[in-house]
Amino acid sequence: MRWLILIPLLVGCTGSELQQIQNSLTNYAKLSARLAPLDSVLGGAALASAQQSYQLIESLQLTQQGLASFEVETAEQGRARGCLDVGEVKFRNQKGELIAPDRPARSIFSATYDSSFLITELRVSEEPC
Amino acid sequence: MSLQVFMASCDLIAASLGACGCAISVNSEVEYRICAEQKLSVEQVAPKDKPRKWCKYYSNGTIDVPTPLFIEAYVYVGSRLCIGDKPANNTSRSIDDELRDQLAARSGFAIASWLPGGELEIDETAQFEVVFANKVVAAELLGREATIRFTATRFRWVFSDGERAFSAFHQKAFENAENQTAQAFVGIRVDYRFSGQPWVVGVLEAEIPSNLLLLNVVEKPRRTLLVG
Repeated sequence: MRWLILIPLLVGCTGSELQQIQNSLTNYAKLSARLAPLDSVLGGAALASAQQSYQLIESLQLTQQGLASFEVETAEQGRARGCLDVGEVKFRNQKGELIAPDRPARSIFSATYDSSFLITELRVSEEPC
Repeated sequence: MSLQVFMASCDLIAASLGACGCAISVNSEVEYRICAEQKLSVEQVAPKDKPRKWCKYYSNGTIDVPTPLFIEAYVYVGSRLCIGDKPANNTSRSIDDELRDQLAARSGFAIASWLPGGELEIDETAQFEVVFANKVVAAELLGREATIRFTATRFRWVFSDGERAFSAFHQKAFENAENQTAQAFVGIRVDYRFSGQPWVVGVLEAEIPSNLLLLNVVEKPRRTLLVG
């Protein structure tokens, strides 16, 4: 009987974890698109990398259009995996010309996060999904 | 032999720019590349107020099959072929200007050596040393200054008798008379700097193996003391 009670609880926890990290990643995509501070969603190496990228696109005088989207497929024990879609993300230079980087629109990502769903590491593979 | 490679964390902007996971190879040295690839697409559209010109063409509509009569009309430039025209150019076209550039740098090797060399007697202390020269490679990437830096951050020795050590320099003796091996592994941290920005530290951490040292450990020679 105890197990019957525990199973839905466990399933519920896993589902909740997936939803929570999905929310964090979605927030990250929204904040990143407008170059907003990322301390509320990122930490550690992920935050350091993002800050470097902010500096880079500022130095290249690029502006971003469109939103990236994360589709989390699995999330457990602080590690999420899924598909990252950057197909809608475009950059324009100072003259307004479109910069179209040569990269896959959708590729597999994995992310690690802490107990408060702060993303501490993001890895993006070249493998399409 | 397994080599440890830890890719640095990426981020959404770098992923969108296609800058995650640039080419890296690790074998007996580390090769790291900063890649930059941009495709600039500019759509050129014909202006709204098109220029016009007087245009002559034959009555059959061609410019190369003569007829007794020809037509002369005031037409938009590019709207039709006229006698004396060069082959037509499209008024609307796309220019794809691809910028591809990369800066590749190799770390160099880790060189292990030992003293005194030759045969080593049981319980004789040998000195093992591994040397890795930290390296900075600078060049231009997309017309901007870019630098890749390799720095040794840790050392590890593996001896065939099971002993391990964690420094560039190590002294040890062997207890058994047999062929022994020693090999060092050097942890390398890769940093880069682009376009006057601060250093991006730790984009890659990898471990490279040194050359393998072969040691012939022999029994101590028996020395007979003759007393007269």
